Amino acid sequence: MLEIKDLCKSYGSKKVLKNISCKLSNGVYGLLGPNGAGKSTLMNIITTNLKANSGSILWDGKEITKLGNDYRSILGYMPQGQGLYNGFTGYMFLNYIAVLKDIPKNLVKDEIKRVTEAVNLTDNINKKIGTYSGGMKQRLLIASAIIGNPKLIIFDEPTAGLDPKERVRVKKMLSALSKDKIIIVATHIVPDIENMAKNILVLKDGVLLKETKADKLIEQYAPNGNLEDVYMSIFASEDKV
Amino acid sequence: MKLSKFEILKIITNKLFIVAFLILWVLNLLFLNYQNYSESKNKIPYEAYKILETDLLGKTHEEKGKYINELYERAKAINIIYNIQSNAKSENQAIRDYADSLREENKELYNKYYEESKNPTWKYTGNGDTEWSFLESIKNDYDKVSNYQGSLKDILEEAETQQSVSIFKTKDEVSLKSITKTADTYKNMQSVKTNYEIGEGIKKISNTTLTDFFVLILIFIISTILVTEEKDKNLFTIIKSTKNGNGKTLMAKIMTLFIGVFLICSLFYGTNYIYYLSTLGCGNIFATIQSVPLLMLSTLKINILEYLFILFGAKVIFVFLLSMIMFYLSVKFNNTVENIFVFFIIIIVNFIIFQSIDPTSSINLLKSFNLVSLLNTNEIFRIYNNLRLYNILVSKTSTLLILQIITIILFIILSFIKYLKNMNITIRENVIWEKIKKFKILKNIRFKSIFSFETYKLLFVNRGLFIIILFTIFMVFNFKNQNYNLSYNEMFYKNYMDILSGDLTPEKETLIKNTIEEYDKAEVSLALINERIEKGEITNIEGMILKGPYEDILATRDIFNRIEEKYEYIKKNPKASFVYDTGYNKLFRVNRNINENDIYLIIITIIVLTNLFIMEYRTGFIQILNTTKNGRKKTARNKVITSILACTVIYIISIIPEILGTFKMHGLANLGDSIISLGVFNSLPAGISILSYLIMFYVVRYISYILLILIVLYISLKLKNMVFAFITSIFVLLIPIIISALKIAKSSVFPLMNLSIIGSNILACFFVPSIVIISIFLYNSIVKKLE
Repeated sequence: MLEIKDLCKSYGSKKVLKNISCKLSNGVYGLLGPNGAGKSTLMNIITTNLKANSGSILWDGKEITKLGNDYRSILGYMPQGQGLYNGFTGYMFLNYIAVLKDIPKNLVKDEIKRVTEAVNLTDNINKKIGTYSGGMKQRLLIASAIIGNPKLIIFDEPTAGLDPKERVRVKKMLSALSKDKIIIVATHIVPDIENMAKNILVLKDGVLLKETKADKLIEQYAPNGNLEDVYMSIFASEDKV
Repeated sequence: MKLSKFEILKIITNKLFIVAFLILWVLNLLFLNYQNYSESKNKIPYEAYKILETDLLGKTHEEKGKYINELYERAKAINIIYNIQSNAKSENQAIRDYADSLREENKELYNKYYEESKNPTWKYTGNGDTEWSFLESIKNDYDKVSNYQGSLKDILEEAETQQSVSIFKTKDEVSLKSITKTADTYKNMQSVKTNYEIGEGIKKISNTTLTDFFVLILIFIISTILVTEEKDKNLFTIIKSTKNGNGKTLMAKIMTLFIGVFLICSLFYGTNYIYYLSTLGCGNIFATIQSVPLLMLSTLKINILEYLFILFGAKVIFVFLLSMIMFYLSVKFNNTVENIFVFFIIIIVNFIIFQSIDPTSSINLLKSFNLVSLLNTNEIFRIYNNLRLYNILVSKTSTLLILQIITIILFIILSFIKYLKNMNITIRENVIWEKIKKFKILKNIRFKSIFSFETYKLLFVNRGLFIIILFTIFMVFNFKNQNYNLSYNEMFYKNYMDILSGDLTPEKETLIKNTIEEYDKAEVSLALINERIEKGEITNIEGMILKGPYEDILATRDIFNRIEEKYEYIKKNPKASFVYDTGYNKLFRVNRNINENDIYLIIITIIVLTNLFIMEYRTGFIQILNTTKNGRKKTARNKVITSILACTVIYIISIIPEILGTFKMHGLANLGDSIISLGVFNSLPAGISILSYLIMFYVVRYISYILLILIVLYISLKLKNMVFAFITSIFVLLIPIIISALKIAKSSVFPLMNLSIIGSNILACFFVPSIVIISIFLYNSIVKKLE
């Protein structure tokens, strides 16, 4: 269980996150919000890349800052940028992530095989990353996030750059994974989370507007539409500005 | 031009450029000032040249000669009078006799200046000895310029002899043609009139190593701002998609580069011009350049003012050539590391060519048209030379200038081709390495620890191994090309010290005393022969014959002084022994402020390490690293350990040739003797052997080197920008060595970061705790930064 309590973050005088609170249990969570809403900051704090000014994040009742490496060993993160070593092969990269995550040596080979199959990279895993297409790099990053079977996985735009077939595959994979873990997906591609997200977190100007099921959101904001219409309805005022 | 305006704006609004420019400009000023200050303290003050320059202004050549000779005669006479007075007080009868004969010999001067010698004033230097040597060098220079026509005649006669005498006929046809061409060129110079000018300011202006170094840093920053930074920020995707984003933009960038080079040269070299001409005086700037001793053999028919403009223009051309090479590399390569790396390879290749080609070789053009040689711009004009490319003979001055301009145009064209046709517009990881990467074995290696991954990243992704291999080749080449022959004096010293080697015994003492006596006798005999010549008892030729054997004996007198000093030292320090010390002094850098191996070591270290942390930030991988269990402290710790291990190899590669070279040249005898046998270490405990101290010396240097490694890593982690980190590291680590090498400051300045001096004296031991403390602090800061 991941619990966020009164989380605040400011850069200078600008408040980026304002008293964010929510409780997340196993399942996929969609994190929606326009640019500047605070999504990246929130993800960076959850992934310990950033420190909050106040408030706390608890994992199974314990503060993640105090858990330190114990928390990081249950964490998987896929950032938006494709931060990869072009000189590494895909296998070498996943092996490296496995070592970084301290996965027991005897399990590494099987784990790499498992995640490679999950993202459909088996045929290219021994090629240099420099030769990968954007979509392949994206899939490699997804594999690196799920290796070691972490309990909490955070994806930033996981389907960006993937072709429709791969998008469906990834969505299915995330749904399957979410049975025993918490998955947070930040994305602008609203249809991607529409069917698989258990709950939607809507962020606007650093404030968590909603944390509810997708159908409830649709019912409230766009009774005859879909999640995209909800997004348009909530953030329409920003466009007017 | 509109586009150039924006390119210029990019540079002048760039923080790195502004900060670097201000710091370097101020440093250059401080350097000029400090040089003046330090030289004034030890050598001839700048003021002396300026005052004399003013005194000579408006005088004809002959009047100048008369004035200088009078000054010289006075200084010499007063110094001789002091010498006579001091020798006359000696207890040794032979020396007193010598004083008498000296007085007799210089009777006229003695009487003329005796009264003045009681209370002399030294207008130029404030000191009798310095004034004499100052005026002696001025007089020599004056005589040289006075004999200008004679020098030309010598050149012509020598050419004639070489062409006619059969022994020279063995020379190939081109060499003979070269002699004729040189003679013809100098024949045309016979109409040139000379009027002696001191020209010390011009000499200084012509040799500005530190300013060159500063200018190079700045043009590197400019070419980086113009291309690499834009690639880094993905701006080329926008720029190249616009109507004017291709040819016109590149032209604007090249124009901006030229404007930048011109302004930087104007500001830096202009400052040097103003400083040196105002402190050393500029004399008559309309005199022919042949009036200045330094430029006497130049074949340019111009005056000093014109020369200064031409020298500046040539400097601008050379700096622009360098900047165009840098610019092209920025366009060609997509990675700053590769860019810097290839530039260094170009410099090293140029250096090797410069070192290995003989000046008379059939490809001597490559020796002169070389980035290392061209750095000394003054050499293009100083003396007439023919360059040969196989059978074609060309004049050095015009050829070098034309070739530089052609190369600039070539690099402009290459930049255009690369930019317009197939430039990769974004930064990628190591292109070069990817091309060399054919190591299939490495492809599927299953690494099992953070350490192995970090080692792989450092050696292969960051191409550290490749750099280490290149460095090894360079050091081996350098080692093989060194001259290990001893000079005659050094050979004498070595042989004598080998005979004396070990403790002082009565036999050795007798040998030394006998030798001293032999020298004294020879000196007295010489003085007596001179006296006989003076009195007309024997002719000059007879005198010369008689003097021969004594002069032979005295030829080694100066070098024997070192042995005599050693003997006196051992008498005072009985635990010391006779040790042939030249090799040890070299190894311990005694009286040596710089060792080029240290510079290579630092540059290679910076190239290998700078990208190690930055790569994680540049690729964005740091975000993933931070979220993993071992991605922080453990990764940082392993990066540091890997860096230290790789650099240990580099360190060993840098010291082996030095030790082997010294051993080959001087041998390392008496390693077991006490360290106090080497006079400079007299304050150390006598129980320490030379070998122990040698080990200690390299250990201390190694510890200090680890500090430098941590500084490079810390800087790169702190700045997170390749160019920033590279320049800052170079600046922080090389400047202390350069400052101390150029004797701008005493060696004790920045001792912790100066590998060339650390460990060369007892003080180094006191530095070790501070080095360790700072290293621990840096290590913790690095690990914490990633934690």
